[in-house]
Amino acid sequence: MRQDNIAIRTQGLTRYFGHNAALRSLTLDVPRGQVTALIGHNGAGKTTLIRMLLGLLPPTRGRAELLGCDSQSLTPEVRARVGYLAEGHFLWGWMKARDAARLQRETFPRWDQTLFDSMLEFFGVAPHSRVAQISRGQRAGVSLAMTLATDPELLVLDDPSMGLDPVARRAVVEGLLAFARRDDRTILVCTHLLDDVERLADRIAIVSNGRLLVDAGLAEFRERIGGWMLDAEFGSQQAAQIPGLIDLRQARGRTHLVVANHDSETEAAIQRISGTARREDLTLEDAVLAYLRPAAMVGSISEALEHTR
Amino acid sequence: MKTIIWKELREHARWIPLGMIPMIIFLVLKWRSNELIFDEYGSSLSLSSLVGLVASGVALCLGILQSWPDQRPAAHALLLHRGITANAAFCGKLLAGLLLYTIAVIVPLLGMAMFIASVGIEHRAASPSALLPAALISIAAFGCWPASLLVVQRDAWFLGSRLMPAVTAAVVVLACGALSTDVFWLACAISLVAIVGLLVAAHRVFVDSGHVATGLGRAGVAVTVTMALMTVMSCVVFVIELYRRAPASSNGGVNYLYAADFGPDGEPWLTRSFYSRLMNGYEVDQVAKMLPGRSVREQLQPVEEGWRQLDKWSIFMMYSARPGRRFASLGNTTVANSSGQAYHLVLDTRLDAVLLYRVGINPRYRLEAKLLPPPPVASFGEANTHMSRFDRAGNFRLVSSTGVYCIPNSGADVELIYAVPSESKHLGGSRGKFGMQANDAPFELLLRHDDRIVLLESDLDSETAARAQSLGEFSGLDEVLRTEVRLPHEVATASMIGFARDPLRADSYLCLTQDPLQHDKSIHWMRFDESGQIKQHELYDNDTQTAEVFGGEWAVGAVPPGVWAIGAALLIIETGRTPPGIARVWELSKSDPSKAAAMLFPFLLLLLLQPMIGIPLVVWAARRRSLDKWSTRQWICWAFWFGPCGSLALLAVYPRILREPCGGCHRATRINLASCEHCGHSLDETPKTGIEIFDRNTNTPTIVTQPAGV
Repeated sequence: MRQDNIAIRTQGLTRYFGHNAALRSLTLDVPRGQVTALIGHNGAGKTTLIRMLLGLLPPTRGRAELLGCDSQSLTPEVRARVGYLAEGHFLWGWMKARDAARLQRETFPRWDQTLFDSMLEFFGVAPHSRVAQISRGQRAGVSLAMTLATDPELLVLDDPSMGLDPVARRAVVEGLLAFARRDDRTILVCTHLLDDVERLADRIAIVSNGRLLVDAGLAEFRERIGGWMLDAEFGSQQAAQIPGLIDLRQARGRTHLVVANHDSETEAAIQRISGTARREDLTLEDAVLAYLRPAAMVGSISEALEHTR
Repeated sequence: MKTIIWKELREHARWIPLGMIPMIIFLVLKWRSNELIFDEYGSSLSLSSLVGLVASGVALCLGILQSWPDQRPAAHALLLHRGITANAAFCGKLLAGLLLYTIAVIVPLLGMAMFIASVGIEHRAASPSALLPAALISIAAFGCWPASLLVVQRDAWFLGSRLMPAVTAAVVVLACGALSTDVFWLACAISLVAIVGLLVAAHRVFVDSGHVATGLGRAGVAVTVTMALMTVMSCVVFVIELYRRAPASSNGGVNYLYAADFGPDGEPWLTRSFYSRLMNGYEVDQVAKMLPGRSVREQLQPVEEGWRQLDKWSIFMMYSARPGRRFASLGNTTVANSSGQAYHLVLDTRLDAVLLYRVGINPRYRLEAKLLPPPPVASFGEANTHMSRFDRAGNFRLVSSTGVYCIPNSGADVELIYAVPSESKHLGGSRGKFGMQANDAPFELLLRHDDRIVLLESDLDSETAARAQSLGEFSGLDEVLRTEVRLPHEVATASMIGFARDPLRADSYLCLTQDPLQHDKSIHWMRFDESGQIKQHELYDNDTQTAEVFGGEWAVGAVPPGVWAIGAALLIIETGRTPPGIARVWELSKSDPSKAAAMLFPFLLLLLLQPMIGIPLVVWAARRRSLDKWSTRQWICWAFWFGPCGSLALLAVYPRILREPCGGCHRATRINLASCEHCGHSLDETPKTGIEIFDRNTNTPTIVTQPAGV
């Protein structure tokens, strides 16, 4: 991938909080003009990653680039090209909706007042409404309007649908889709809602326990992950023989397997355990959840197997 | 930046009344405290203390309010992720904070100053300049704003170094409070340096998101933490010393005072006195006649019936010019004239006048008259050395730099009793003290200028009066007699304990002095004549100090060398005098080198002990923190000047770097490096588990990995 086609690039990004590594040696590329979904369980290190990308938190080691600029020394010009929606749609409670516009207008040169006004109208927020007195969904709307009206090249969203009702959630996704239609717009969206990912994302990145496990196009991800169903239960010794095993669930005498990077060798290993094994269609949710289960933690599959028995 | 200022003002302007109201209440309370003179001196309700307390609180709260809520990750991002630099955001916060602080603290002070100016001196001896020390303290107290930002934003342990900036800011406010009335400009300089230092450190911590990654920020934090550590350690030592001394200094709850005094025979006696609540003063209970070259402390005997000390003159330190001090009370008693009406007299150094206030009920004071003194008194305000007392007739005696005056209680013109010779230049400092006799004689006054002493007396016996020169008749007294005595060189250069007429020999005077070189070792007793010719000179052991009293120059060695050097430099700049310890040792080295060496040894030992502890501590800490050679050298210099406190600051400035076992050599290695410091194994290499899915066509990233963070 060419350097100028990359909106976000990290190299060996690591961050410790005390003795705990929130993120370990994360190397990630987010191509321009695409929507990348960042997925991970709570505490996986997604928000830490975003804060480091935006230069709001220094990494312990490694570095990151945002629009070709070192994230620890982002200039005001680069910042003005990056929109960021923080987790929880934070806004200062004393603000009125029109104050939010004023706050952004003076520090983002490409501010689009018309877009802001129309989004406020869409979410049913009057300009004189105080943030502390509007609903959570409306606050999300104001927050989203504040971010999108800056007309950013790169949009970084930390759980934009959090706390929204289905209607508002759908509106947010559609807003983002409309925003992403222009080729030069890049979105990095961090979310737990996998159907939103399916509608929105071109690429998927899965972080688990501070480690990046997946960084691929959505189609490629689906292609390289496979599911099998076996009409038998088996032990950890046998499971350890299956290369790329991500997840294993046993119930009512049956075993469901999710395997990454499967090939003929994988198939042969499974058939050796049970001759009746057959392929199973996996949804995106099944595939992602396989990574997010505790069993997907590196090096702990066998322990998890013992636990499920 | 405008946006940030607007945001901060919108967010925090509502808290202004919480700071402003206490300020106004305290100022009003002070104004209504019924004290005739509105200033800092001798006041039961110190304006500076109150202003310092409120202003520090306002600055501290404002700093916390402006920083704590924005520490939440989402708020932090909303604040900083915009088209401005972190530097501009900090400046916006600072300017908004300064504006809010000014409104809450400075505006009430300005309002008070305007009010005082509008009221004038009709009902209160008040001038807007009286608010100067309070204004300085309120400026110094703004140091609490960056200090609170440092406390909130710096990544450190609260029980470690995190609270240190607040300690430093508090110390600066206290120091300014103590110094503002004496050395105003020095206090200004200290507060300015402290505020700039704290602001620089707070700025770097804000810009570096809680860390101090740059030299300037590190320097700011190092200075702040070192100062705070030294203060904390000094406080601990002080408390221990107080505790240690407490049982030794009291004897059944009675504190004794030992002093060398003239006995009835004019010879020196050691007296022990205790504080008598009944007499509201010290009362002598044991005495012993001093013997040359011998300690008599163990020979103290209960005082015999009829034994009394010889009347002596004591030298008092006079008031000196201080900022905000325009008025001086001419005695604290109220003088009543024949009608029973009470008056207060106040010296106004700006108007060069004595203000006569009539005491009433409502309003409590009313200016009755301005007694403008004749021209020679017009230099009151310049030297500002004055002292006053009532005589038996109810007249005021006023001592100023130009002479002694009588202010008749009848309200008549001020009369000059004695004019200081115009050739006398040194009326300030140690040689230019005025003094008065402590007893209740009708009129006895001692004035000292240069190497001469002038005694102004009335009611002298005929023999003494015959030798004295008459000053003539004036209000309330028939005659004032003047005697001029030239002091011997040994007395003029020494520290005088007491001066008296010799009861046994006419035309002879007695003096007790302490040697400035060995003031804690011996006391000199001298008999001399009017021309300064010494007739007798004896040396006695000094038994006046209690055994537990902490004394000796060696203790100065416990002060860190840097503080000692700065203190000495300030003393030289401010007073033009060499630090007493140095001067004493230098003088002694000429006369008695062995004594000088013995005095110097413990001082040097303590002084050197500090870098001897501090430097190895720095070397150890620098290795633990993986500092480079240049930084280590800088810190060694710091530890040399500031001892172990300077070394401990290193631990606060550089965070501890975690180490983890290297995947290559399994030795503990720094986590902030891209590769193992021992074997070069890349720390970014993580074992593959086979479940990773990455794009097949992704090129290897081209970012050059560098250590980040620390």
